[in-house]
Amino acid sequence: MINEDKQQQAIDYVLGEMSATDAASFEQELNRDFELQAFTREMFETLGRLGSGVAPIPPPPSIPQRILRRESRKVLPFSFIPWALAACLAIGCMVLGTMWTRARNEVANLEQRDLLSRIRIAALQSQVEAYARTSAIVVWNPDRKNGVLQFERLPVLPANQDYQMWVIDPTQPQPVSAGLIPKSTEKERRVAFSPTKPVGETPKFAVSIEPAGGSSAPRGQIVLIGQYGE
Amino acid sequence: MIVFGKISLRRVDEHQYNADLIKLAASGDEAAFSILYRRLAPALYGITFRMMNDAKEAEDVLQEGFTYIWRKANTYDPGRSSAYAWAVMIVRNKAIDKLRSRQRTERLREKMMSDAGFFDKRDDSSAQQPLSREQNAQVREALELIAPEQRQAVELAFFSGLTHEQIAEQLGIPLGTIKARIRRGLLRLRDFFREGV
Repeated sequence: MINEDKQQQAIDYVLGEMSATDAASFEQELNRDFELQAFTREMFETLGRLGSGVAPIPPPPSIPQRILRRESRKVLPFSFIPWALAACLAIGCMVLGTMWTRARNEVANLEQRDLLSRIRIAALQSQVEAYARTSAIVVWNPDRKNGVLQFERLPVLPANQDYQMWVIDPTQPQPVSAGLIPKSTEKERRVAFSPTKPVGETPKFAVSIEPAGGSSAPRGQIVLIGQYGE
Repeated sequence: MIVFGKISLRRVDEHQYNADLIKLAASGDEAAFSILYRRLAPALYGITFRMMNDAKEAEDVLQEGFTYIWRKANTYDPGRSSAYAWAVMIVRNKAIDKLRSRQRTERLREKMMSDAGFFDKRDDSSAQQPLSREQNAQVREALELIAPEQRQAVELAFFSGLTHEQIAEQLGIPLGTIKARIRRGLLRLRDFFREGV
C-alpha cells in the first residue's frame, strides 16, 4: 500500500508540479517500485479520462502536414548541425503576450520611438526537458546589434558552470559569444547583451551551459534557442 | 487488419491500437502519425480550446503538442500510461506552459471561479463520436459525485495553469489542504472510472 506522501508525490509528478531535480529523482524511484509505478499510471489514466470530459472539437486537418513538412526540412549541411536543427524548432513559435508588454519598457530604453519597428523579438524554445518551464525572449536591436534577454525560471547552475549567451549568424563559421548570464536565484530577470563580433541582420540566439567563466565556442549543452521573424 | 510497413495493426484494443500508431510514428511512418492525429486530435483540441479560451492559441498548442509527439514518439512507454493519457498530458502541459508564460491565468481563473467550470453541460447535441459522447458524460457524472471542493481543486489543477501554490493563494486555503483535495478527488475519480460511475 502506498502511503499518502508517496501518492502526493506521484500526483505532483503527473501534474508537472515537481522541479526537474525532484522529477528525475522520482523517476528513479519509479523504476524500482512497481507499486508506485502502478499508482502513477492510474493517476495518468485518471487525468487522461478527465480530459475526455471536455467536448471534442473538430481540429484543423492541416496540422499533421504542417508538422511533417516543417520537420522534413531540418537536414542542413552546416558543421554545427545540432545548432541549426535546434534553431528550426523555434520557427513559428513567437511567444509575445504579456512578456511583450513587459519587454516594451526595455525596448524603449534601447531605441528611439521611430526605430521601434526595427526591434525584433525572438522566443527562445527549451531544448531539454529540464528547461520546459523556462520562458525566455530576446529583444534585439538589429541597428545597434545588441539586445536584452528576459527570462523566467532559468534553473540555477552549480558553481562550476555558467550560462552563456550566443548569437548565431549564418555568415560566421561558429556562434558568436554574447557573454555570460550572471548567476542569480531571482525567478524573473533581464540581461543586456551584445555579441563580441559583428553579426548580420537575422541572427539566431541561444543559451548554453558552459564551464565556469565561459567558452570561446559553444561546447556545452544548448538549453534554449530561437530566432525572430519566421 | 491495417498494415503499415512491416507491422500489422489489429483493432483489438483501442489503447493498443494508439500505442502501435505511436510506435510506427517513432519509426518515421507519416501515415501512422496522420491516423493518430485524426483519432486523438478532436479530444485534444477540445481540451486546448477550453484551456486557452482562444481558437488560434488552441490550434498553436495542438500543433506544438503533436510536434512533440512526432519528435518524442520513441520515448513513449506503454508501461507508464496509455497512449491517450500520454497525449492528453503532453498537450495539457504545452497549454500550461503557454498560459503561464503569458500570465493569462488570472482571466481564466476568474472565468472558472465565476460559475460554469470547465465542463460545459450543454454540449450533448454537439457532433461527437458516440464513444466520445459516452466518455464525456461519464466523466461529468463522476465529477458530480465527488465533493464540490475536490472537484474545484482537481479542475483548477488540471485546466487552469495555476500551480498548487497559486490555487491555494487564490482560494485563501492552506497549500496542504489544496493538495489533499486534489489527491482525494483524483483517488475518487480513479475509483469511479475503475468500477463504473
